[in-house]
Amino acid sequence: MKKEEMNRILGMLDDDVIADALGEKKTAGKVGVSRRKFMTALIAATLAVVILVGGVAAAFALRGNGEPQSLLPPEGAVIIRNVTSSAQLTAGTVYTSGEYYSVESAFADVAPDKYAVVNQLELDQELYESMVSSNDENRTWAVEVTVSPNLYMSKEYIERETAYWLSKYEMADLEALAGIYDQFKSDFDINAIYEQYKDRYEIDELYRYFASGELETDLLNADINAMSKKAEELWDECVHFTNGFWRNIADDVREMLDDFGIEFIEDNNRFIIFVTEGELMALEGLGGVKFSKAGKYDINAGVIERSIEWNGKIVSKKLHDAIAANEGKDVLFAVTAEPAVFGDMLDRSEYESKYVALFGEAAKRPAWRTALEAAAADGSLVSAAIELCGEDAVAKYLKDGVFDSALFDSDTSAINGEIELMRKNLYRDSQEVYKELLPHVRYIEITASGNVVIYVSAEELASMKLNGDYCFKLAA
Amino acid sequence: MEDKRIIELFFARDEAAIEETSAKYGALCRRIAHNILENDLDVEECENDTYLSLWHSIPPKKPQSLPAYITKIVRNHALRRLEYMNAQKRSAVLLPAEELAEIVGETADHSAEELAKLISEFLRAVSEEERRIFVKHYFSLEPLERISAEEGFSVGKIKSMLFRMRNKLRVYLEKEGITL
Repeated sequence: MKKEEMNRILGMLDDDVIADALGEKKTAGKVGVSRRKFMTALIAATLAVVILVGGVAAAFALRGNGEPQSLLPPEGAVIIRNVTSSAQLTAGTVYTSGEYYSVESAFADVAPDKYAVVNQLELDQELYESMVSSNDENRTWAVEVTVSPNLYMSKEYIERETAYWLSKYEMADLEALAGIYDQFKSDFDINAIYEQYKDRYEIDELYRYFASGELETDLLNADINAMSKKAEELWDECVHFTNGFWRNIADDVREMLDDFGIEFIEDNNRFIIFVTEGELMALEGLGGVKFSKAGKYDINAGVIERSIEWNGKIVSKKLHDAIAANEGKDVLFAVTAEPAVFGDMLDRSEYESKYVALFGEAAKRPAWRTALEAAAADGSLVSAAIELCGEDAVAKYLKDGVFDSALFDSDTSAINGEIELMRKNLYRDSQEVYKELLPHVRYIEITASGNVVIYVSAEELASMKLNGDYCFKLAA
Repeated sequence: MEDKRIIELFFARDEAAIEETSAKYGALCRRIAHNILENDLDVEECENDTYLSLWHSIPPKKPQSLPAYITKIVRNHALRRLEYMNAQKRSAVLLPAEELAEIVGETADHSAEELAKLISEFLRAVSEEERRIFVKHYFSLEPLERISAEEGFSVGKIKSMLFRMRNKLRVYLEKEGITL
């Protein structure tokens, strides 16, 4: 069996067996690995909230029996929340759907991509569900246009990929010969080797490498190198095939987007477009591509979500729709109230971005210190320090080969101080929101993510008279 | 946050699911990826790929064990990245799999799923300590030195335990009808 296949099998071990072994706390390792930068705005923003949660939760927890306290609606109250419709979609399929059994699906337990076909467009299920659940046809979505995974099922691609893996397997067989020879060399018998490994090698093949009764190392290495080169070429062909496929369709995509006046950003083998549901559906029949949510651009698109003025307040479109849909019903709406000015920033997302940047700085400094100290002790490690910390940081902290630890510590303290200050500001703002809203509502809580959530009827929300500017959104 | 709640967040398409996963299992992800990849940036990207895979696969997938599911995904991403980067090189991290591949041999009559089930059964039958060491070495691809430090045994002892387990596994598979 090939090691790649074995690795695949190991990747399919039952969860309980792995979980059991991972159950040891020591398996979790240390937290706080440096992050050069956060991959996408999604990850960055979400991580920010983790940090904020930690800060806020700790801050509130420290208050012990003091305020603010959660005042929750009674059991049985009907609460309208911001929910997605994935459950509904699962319950009743309303679109043509399928699964991409691409090359990736060969890897254990990574679920194949689900897709929906709407207007002959291949939509990633997540994008489709998000659009359906949003119920807001005016919302702008950040959509990534990439090569359809169906490409990977094409004959041309599969041929190349299969040939690549066969080369890899053959190479592994050749590489194993050295070990086999070690095993047999004290009592060399080519027939004994063949008998044991006949499933793996032809006898002619063995004679090729053991012609003299010893392993023909040079010949073997030459063959392995040739095989390796062949595998590399095949892999390049796979990559070129994908790129070529993209180049073929990219012009069509570009032309259609231009025709429809849809703005786009061109990135490596993909377009990012910002479209409403209607604009996307108008691209009917654009083949060879897949539409999915555009990770790091998604938050930007989310900001575009429309807000509506309602009874002198700014409410999100979704909250507005929820209120309209439940008119006359005895329900409460779970609503987040975000101040227009948040933590001395324009909005919470800006606040979170800054917090993340600072926290990222702080998180990587222990690793920087280790690298700088090592570089100071051994000059040959300076390039490694530059790779980790960047040229500016190395120039700043490593002067004439000496690590300026005082300056480093002082800068670290300044960063930590700024983080602490932001935490305090956030706590202060959350407290202020809580205090301002408390007299106007019956039910209020501060959630784990640091949001102040009120549970109000439409009438209560409409009649609230607040001093500050808030944006009210339907809470999850 | 409890794993059950994190999975609920994924099902609700709440991005907090990623926050919570990152907070709880980020270090584990990085560690597994680090066992396979040397470069910090690759590890970071692998970790982030893992979060996105989780986001795309849950739902419909509802993992029985979230950490096990995460480690499987991060392991797959890391191995794929390694494969991509070192297409022509022989990598040391594949050696543990090679050790097992040798004892499992060629088993055309059995699917990968069947073999994985049998190995899982075998691991349930061995002692907790052996199971932990086996999974750490062959699944998490932890270096022997680290396993040694964590388990409080010498590297030689760990090697010896793994050797004995491989032999036991061979016998077990033979008993289960796997022709080696």
